[in-house]
Amino acid sequence: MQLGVYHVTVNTTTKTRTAAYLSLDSLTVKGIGVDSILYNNTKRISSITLPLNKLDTVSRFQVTFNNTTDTVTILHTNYDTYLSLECGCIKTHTVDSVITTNHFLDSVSITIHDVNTSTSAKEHIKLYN
Amino acid sequence: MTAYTVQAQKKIIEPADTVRVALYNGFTIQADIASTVTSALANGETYSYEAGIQVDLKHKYYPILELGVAGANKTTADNIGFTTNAPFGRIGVDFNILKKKPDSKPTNNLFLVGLRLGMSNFKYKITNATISNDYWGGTEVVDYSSIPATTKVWWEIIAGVRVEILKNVYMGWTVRTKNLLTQGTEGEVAPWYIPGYGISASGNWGINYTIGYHF
Repeated sequence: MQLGVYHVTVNTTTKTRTAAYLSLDSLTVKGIGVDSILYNNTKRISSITLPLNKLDTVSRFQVTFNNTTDTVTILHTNYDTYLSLECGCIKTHTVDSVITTNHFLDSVSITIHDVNTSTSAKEHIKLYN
Repeated sequence: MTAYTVQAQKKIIEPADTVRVALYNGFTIQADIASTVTSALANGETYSYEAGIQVDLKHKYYPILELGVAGANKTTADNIGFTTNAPFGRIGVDFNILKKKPDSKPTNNLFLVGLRLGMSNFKYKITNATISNDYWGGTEVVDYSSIPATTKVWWEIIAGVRVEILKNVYMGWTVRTKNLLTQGTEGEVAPWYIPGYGISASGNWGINYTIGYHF
């Protein structure tokens, strides 16, 4: 599942809002309840790929943007998808909702709900600063 | 003058050549040896046994019914299991394309080309498909042990030879190309092996070596 980090700028004369990728100076991401770190102080990054929990319907991540930490909670449904006898079975997901704390983040939107092989290269969730 | 002679000869030969052939000329029961041998070589991973009954119409058309039992008991390198076992049937007709030369001895040997429509209704199980939850930890084992019975239909083009080795005893081989008519739908838990068709793919082929008795 892919997430993009955006910053919204408001043009005061035309009163239009434009969202653009925010390049972060530092990003650290880990799953809550897991010791292993997914992104460790990664520089100049605005797009991340996170693994959803295949055996639970809640995946919670602790995300540190520069020096501010937010918790991103993703509620999802999991499906068994059979590929072939050689490739076996995989899980696909549907993202139902996303909840975040608002220390660095302002809001969140889901652009693609289905997380599967055909959408794996696309951005599913937009995080706004 | 020469032209006249040839024409005259033709007229004489013609009645002898158009000997009335009866519509029904008996039937042959045949068993397949090749599938038995391949089954033994496959070590039980896949197996197939079949026999057929073929009717001789006018020494030219040979309608055939083939019946068999086939199955699979496969375990992949990742320990995923596939099992099935079911009867299958094929119906079709062969045409003898061996032209009898006027001066040759009468023969019962056949060179056949034909078509088949094959069908099998079968149940299958896929077991022990393991999903590993790489990052979060843990694994889940998925079993598809109650998939409802499915019907697969395919068609075949065949070519083969039958030689009368003893009186009324025929041996021969048949090669066949197989093509599925019932394609799977996306997302279905597709069978790895289809009885009578073989390992599931859009195209397949097979060989039979038959021994038969003509009644």
